[in-house]
Amino acid sequence: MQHECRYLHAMMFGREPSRSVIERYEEAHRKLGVTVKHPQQIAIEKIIRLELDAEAIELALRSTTQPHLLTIKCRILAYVAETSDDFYQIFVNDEQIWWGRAALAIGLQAIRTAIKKLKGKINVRRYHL
Amino acid sequence: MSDDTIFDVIIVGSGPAGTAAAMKLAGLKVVILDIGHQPECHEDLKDNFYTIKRQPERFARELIGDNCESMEGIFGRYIMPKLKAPLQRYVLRDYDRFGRLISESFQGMVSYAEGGLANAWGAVMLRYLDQDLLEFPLTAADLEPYYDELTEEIGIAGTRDDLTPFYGSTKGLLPPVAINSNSHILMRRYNKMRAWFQQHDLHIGHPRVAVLTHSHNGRPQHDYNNLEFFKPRIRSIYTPAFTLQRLVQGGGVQYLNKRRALWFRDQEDRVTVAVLNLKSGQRETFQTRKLLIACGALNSARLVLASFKAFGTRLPLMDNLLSYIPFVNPFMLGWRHETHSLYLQLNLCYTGDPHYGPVTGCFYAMSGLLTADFLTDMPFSIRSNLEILKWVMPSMLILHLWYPSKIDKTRNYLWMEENGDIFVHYNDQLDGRVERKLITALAKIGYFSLLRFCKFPKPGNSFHYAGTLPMRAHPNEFETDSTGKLYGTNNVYIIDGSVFSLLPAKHPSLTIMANAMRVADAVRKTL
Repeated sequence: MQHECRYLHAMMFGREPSRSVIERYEEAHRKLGVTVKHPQQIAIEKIIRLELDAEAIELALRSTTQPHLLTIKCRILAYVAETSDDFYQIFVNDEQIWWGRAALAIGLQAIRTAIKKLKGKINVRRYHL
Repeated sequence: MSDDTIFDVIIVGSGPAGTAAAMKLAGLKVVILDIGHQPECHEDLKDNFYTIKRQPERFARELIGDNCESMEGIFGRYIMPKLKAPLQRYVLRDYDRFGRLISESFQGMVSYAEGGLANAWGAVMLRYLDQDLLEFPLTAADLEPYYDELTEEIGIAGTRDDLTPFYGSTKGLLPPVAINSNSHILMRRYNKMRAWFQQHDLHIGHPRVAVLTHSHNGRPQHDYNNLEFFKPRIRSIYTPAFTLQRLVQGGGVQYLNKRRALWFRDQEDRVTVAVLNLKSGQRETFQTRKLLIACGALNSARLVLASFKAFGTRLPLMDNLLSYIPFVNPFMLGWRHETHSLYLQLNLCYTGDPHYGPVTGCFYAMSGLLTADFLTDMPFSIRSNLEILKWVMPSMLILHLWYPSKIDKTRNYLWMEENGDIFVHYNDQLDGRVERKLITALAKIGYFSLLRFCKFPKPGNSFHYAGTLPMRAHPNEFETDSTGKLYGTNNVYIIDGSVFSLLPAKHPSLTIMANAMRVADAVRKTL
């Protein structure tokens, strides 16, 4: 679980999680009943073991009606991070930027997402996730 | 309570209807029977939401919950933000303890809290006009004096604008709630093209909402601290529990909580009410001259069906179907989060669809919520969403649309089994046609969306349940007359949304309360 948290945290926030984040991540899993016995846990372990692109794979597997375990874990980590100290700037914009710059950034992220989605679909098929 | 105590009135339920009726009956020998869960003490949560977010670990319990309540939506089931927050969970405590709500097509909830589901309402307060009451055996004039009295009791903010023809009298209104920069821009652009919008049956204006813009009746002016989704019983946002507490403390009514009403027996000159005392586990009986049932449409139906042992009997059910349209103003991308804001910004009324009839909308700001709630709502990868969500959220207004509903027992109905389980079958669905029209219309003033981003929660998510025991000029079994009296009884009155004969696309709370006062007024005169 700790290694899993580190892997997903690096993917989502580009840095190592604090001890507190790791403990709260584990605690959230216990309280929500998300256990290692979940049938999709095997896919998670494979992603981490083979150091696959979890971001791309999550996007390819994302479903609103029946969320994949990977999506669930990413969201748990997002809640833990947002309610941890030192993440304010990631979740709240308190410095206004020119709308054009924001729109350009969104456009670039849209292109990045499209590439990730393609990569994710290829990985899902290739590694039978 | 001695066995030979006979009350003048027993009211079952302490939600908007029960509390409004109690206002009119205070001073008589009145008791409210209620289960009455209460919120926890939360004195620490008083700063601005965005101040709290700078050092949130201290408030992890209030923001996330001891059992990670705030995270429940990650499993795919939609939960209304106001009901998801940890300190608000008391509203739904025990919701299936006394009988489940079972349905594939309806996601309903009941509340056993003191004050009922209103503890988590959006506090929108709209008067019904004659066109909204067409199926009712009463007119707007019958309700007008009670609307005026409630406007004074509650403190309703609003103003005269393009929505006044749909919302009625502005008598007694407090100044309108402050709106954020995004809403100012929307209104400015709407006003420039007003003629076009009105030609296309679309009207936008300020909401009528139970939020205090001045201090009123001992409650303070709202401070726009963005805590509405996390902090229960904010004094500047009305909930019926405030009136209930005032009446009880003033000695006007008695309030017995931890009491679950099981059944009633109506006789010539009195009603016997059997309750389960949840504290002692003992059954108790009460005698009363008049019984007013105000448990909410689902639980009132449950109590009536149990009392008549009418298991399997089909009753009609209405609900305002709901959709969400996220709108983005691209020129506001990258704006700062406005730290002082209200969740509710503007209202909308659209009358251009002949199939559905008039549709009501509320624009909500994306503030006072956890960003993690929306992490996978945007169609980007998780890392991309984390990069851009903070720039997108200030540019967004989420339009919630409510649709009208009619009684149709062949399509939308419930029945109850002997164990108290209620089964609901709800056939009505939305097809996106109104959403498409509104997306096209608002694009003209620079607010953009796509139909694929709209959400259509299951029926039941509006919590505007009504029509299970409808009011008729000539009622039949399981219907009520124009005084609210239940058919076949002498002394039993239904006073909540159960009695609605039609459910317009207008928040019913104020009308539920006004009608409850009207019935209580009439009942008082018979005593």
